[in-house]
Amino acid sequence: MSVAPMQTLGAIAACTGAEALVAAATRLRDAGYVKFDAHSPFPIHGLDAAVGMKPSKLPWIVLAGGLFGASFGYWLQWIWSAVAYPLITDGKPFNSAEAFVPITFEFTILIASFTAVGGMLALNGLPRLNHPAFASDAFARVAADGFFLTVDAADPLFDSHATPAFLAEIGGFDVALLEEPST
Amino acid sequence: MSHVDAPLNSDEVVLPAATLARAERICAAVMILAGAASVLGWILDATQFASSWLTAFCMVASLATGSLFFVMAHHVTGAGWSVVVRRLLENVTRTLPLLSLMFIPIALNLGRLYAWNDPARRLGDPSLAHRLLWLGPAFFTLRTLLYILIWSLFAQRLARWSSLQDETRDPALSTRMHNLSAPGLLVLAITTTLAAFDWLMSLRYAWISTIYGVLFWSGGFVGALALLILIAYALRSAGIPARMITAEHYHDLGKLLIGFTIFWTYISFSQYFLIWYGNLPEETAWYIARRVGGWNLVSWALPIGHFAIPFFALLRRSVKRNPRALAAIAAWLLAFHYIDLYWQAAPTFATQGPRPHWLDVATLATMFAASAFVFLRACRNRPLVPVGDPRLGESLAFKNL
Repeated sequence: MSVAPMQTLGAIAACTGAEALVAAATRLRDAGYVKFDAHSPFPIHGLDAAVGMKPSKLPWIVLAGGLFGASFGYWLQWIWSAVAYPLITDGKPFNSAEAFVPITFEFTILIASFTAVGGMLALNGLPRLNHPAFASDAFARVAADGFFLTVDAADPLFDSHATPAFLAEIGGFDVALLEEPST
Repeated sequence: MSHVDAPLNSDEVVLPAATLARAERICAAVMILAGAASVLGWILDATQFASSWLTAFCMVASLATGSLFFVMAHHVTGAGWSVVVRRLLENVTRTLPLLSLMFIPIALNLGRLYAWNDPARRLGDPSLAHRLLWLGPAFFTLRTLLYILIWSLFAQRLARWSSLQDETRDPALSTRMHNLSAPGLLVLAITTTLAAFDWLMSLRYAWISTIYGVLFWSGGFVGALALLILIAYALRSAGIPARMITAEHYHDLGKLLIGFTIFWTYISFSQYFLIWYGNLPEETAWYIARRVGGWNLVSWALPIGHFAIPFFALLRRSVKRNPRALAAIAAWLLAFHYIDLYWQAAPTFATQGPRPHWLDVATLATMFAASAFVFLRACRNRPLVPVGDPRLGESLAFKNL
């Protein structure tokens, strides 16, 4: 068996607690890192700002989905009631906006909801089967009492020597590189 | 974020007496001037006066009952975030007894307002005969006074316990307010429904819409939310109480405002939709009367101005968190709430199209000034936030995720 060459995916460091995690994340953000993440067993107030998270683009995607749903819902009814099968029903006009409102409304909600769920998954990068942090055995404690910072190797500032050193400097311990055999 | 530490002293959260006195003087002056103009209008054109007065009366009544609903819903749900605005709403509900005075001109003009009170119709219209059991001038007046009495009692009791809690800081009072509000909501739902049937729906006695009470309530609740936002915005220069109402609270009020704007649209459209589909002459007549001449424009203005524009304006988070922007939308919605009520009441009298009249302004100004005077009196006597509420700390520290 030959030893496969290792590929660096990023770096990981543990923190002593919630406050240390927020402080260290703030230092990382201020140092100019952009592709990094903080992991904790529970939500922490102020962590979103500390990792430099920007407001999600999802609302705009959902708005577009809703507007599309409304137009599509109305168009669908118009094309079959007024164009394809123009049947007189109850003496109402073929293109009866009033009658089309409930379905138009339902289509708006339906497409907007699908866009919200699908857009959320896409923006989160889900579904994914693996995460670079899983290369660290210590990382399993994130589900119990571990607080971790991970820096992605794709970050423009990432350096396999300087980044771990910086992580140790800002309060991280058990600093390690995340590596996996390259294929 | 607020940095006020609970518990607060009562004297930290009151308006300066000089400010209150000046505002009260302005209200009294407006009330006297506009009231004199209304009386003059009554002499000059009694039918126009009655129509304008009824619309303005429904406006202030819907805002006061909407505020009472908010207070009761707050107690029933045990809400934490809205504690800082609850006292302002309680003070609005203190205007409810005033409605009994405002009802006097309506009681004296029943013959001009309601066709069911026309002696010729009473004899000549067989469809009216069985309705006269309910629609008689004495019973009508008695019912309205009963609604006002019931609302006033609930409002007075809730406000008094709330004041008592300022002093005693007794959490048991919160439970008592909770226990009174649960049946109170039920009673409020039934009485506002009947009030809407009496005051507005019976203008055309042959027309029936079972959803009408919900429609009246939904418009009133949107109006009450808009009014609360405007009061909070007007108080921004008032020091501590204003600093307690943060972007977080405006954000939640904005969410409720957009939610109930949608709810009003849903109810309004449901009423229209069923009548349009059923196509029964005695039901469609109400909408046909609102498609004549200029009324057709108002019928179009409502879905656009009362729904589409505020809906898209309120969608963004940043708008809901901006007091100035939110107050502008609230003022817009309050104006459209009046247009909605005007559209429901006035076509009975101005059948060819809307006939805006200076009496519309005078009657509304009279009632708003009188209500504002009572509101300010209530502010004078008590702190502007319920300082003894056990959830006040939670409300002050409240943050949206």
